[in-house]
Amino acid sequence: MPALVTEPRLLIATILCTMGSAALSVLKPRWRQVEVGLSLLAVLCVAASIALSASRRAAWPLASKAEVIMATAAATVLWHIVDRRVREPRIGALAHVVAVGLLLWGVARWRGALPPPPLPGSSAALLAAAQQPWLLAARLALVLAWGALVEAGCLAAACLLLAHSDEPLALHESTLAVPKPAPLGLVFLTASLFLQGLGGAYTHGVYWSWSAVESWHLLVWLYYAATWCASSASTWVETRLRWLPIPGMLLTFLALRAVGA
Amino acid sequence: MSIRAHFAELWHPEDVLDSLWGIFASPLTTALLLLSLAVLVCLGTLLPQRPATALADPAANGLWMTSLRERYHDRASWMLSLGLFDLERSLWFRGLLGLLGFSLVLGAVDWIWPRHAWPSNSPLETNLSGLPTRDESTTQFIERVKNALQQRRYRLLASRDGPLLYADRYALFPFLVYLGLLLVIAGAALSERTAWWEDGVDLRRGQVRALGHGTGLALRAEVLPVKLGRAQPEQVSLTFLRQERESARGTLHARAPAFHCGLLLFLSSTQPAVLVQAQDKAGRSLPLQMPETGASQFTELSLRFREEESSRYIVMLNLTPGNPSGRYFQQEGNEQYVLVPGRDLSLRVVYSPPPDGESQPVFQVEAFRNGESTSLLVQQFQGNASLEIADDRYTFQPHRDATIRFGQDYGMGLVLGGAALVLAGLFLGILRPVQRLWLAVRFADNQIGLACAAVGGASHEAQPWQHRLVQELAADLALQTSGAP
Repeated sequence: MPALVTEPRLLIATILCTMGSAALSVLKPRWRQVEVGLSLLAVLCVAASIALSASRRAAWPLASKAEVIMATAAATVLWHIVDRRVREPRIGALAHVVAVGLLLWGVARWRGALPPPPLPGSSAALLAAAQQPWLLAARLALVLAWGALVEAGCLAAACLLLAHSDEPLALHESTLAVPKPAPLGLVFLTASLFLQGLGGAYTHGVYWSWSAVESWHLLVWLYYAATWCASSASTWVETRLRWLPIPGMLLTFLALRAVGA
Repeated sequence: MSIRAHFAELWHPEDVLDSLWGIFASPLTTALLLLSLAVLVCLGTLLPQRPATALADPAANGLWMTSLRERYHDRASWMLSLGLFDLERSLWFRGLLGLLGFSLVLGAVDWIWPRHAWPSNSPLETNLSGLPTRDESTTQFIERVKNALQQRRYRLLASRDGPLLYADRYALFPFLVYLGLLLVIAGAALSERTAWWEDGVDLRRGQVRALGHGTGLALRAEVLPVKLGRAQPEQVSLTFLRQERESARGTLHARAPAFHCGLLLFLSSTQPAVLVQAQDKAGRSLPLQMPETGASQFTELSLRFREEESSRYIVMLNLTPGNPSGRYFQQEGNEQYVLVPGRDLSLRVVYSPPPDGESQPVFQVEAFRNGESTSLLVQQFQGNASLEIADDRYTFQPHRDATIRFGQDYGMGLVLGGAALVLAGLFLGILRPVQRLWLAVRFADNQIGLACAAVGGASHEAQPWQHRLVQELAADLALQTSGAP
């Protein structure tokens, strides 16, 4: 009897929930609680599909590129829910649309519809014992970082697109500054690099290697660290800093592309 | 204010050193240096970089340079001269890191002992004024202002000349970020200069290997047997010897370090092996050879096998005269050969992984006379075994050999500690954003004046804490606000 809950079904549910949430945010802005509920459901569906895939492979989650991309989409939606300062519904719709795009990208990367055959019991136990939790912790922090940076970029891009709109933007006054997800994204990205270095140093004595993945992570970190420094300069006003998350978001997409399986 | 205007404001021709300090301590300088580093990292990602093997081997370097010229043609020469294919060791990268380090040092000092210049473009510039409540001098009034700020846990600094006060709160957190970055750069430099590692050091059972590098130590490693029926990570028992005497013991676990005498040791892998020895009827050792070792002869040989994770195939070409040439794939066996030249004998030892439910692999030994394709003898074994061929005794002792990695890297601790500080500083800086306040006291026309300018956060408008603080100061000092933002 085929299983009721499978990864493809969960991902379809995620896409539908996210698109529904985006539509509600534009068409029915007063239905915010329903919108938040749909977004939370989408996040849970992504988490469930990743957990299901990991259990089939008898491995830690977030080990493959597809899972990292889909988890980033979920993190983007999660940060949008958490960042309650945003009141303008059209800004939220952009974040949801980008999240759907990331989900579709992750699904396209997911190789094969059938899960790989399960490993024999003794080999699976050895494999699970050999894999360290460092990778999971580093990838979790990385996914949260990417989600925060994408959400900050969406916020900045939406503000840019709507800046010349005839309708006034219903934004909280603190949104005028650098979007808060950007500094939080920098914190989580720093945590990911730190955990990656710590894990590498603990398992084989190498805390850094100039691989493509690590170089891209460092590139994004340097960009946002420069943004952080610029924001602490007393002479720079927020109008210059408000658009900086947009190129950062593009760098984040390029870094996602570089994440290996 | 544009970047150009910002740096123009910092430049004072009459005091060049102070101007340079101001420019390098400026967060915008740090930001520009970080962005320049990002550009270099991007170039390093997009352009092929010189591999470590090319650095060590001139022949490999020549091949790599040839491939570069084929790919980039005429552009290769000037790109090479600019160091774009070796960015990690280039002057650009090291120079930028040096400048960044210098900027971070001055920036860190500036957070602790800031320059007392009145900030330009402050979003909050407020004047408080009022009548003096009692006969008090400027100094006494300044003390009252200081007390009011210290009660609110502000750190206070006064200028050497003039009644200018500087107060800040939570400035430690950006300082932690600067300090952390400095430690990371220092640690990376220390690692590059002083760290050394030896990789792929194979140790077979009973073998003693000198560690070298001035340690005066030798190492013996033995893979501990895995308990039957249990799937568990492997462990290696380490014995350290100094002048042939045991000085310490330790255990090396898979994917976890061991630490001894300032050295870090890691278990890279273990692999199945068989120790082969041969004695004649009189008990004398027979010389043994392996195809890989050529004409060298040994009294015992350690045959290494790989774990059977995946099949390997070799291409077989059929070049038999008269037959059409063809190719086919044949699975490569996990096997080793031992030659006994004195007996015109070859032994083929084949490894098979452990059967289900067992922990020990299965070995099969076949004996051949040279030139014959049919074996004299076939025997399988899992534990120690012996074979008798024409009154000669051949013994086989299966075991596991360890491959370890060891070295020394004092910079690692600095780098990881610095990264932890950066993380802590960034996180705490979000929870508690830095608040900085400048105050100037003036006495004029029998009135006290207190000018306030504040920065904190990247906003063109005053932050809520700035409004609140001004109102609280006005209430504490019995002054009135004028010139509100």
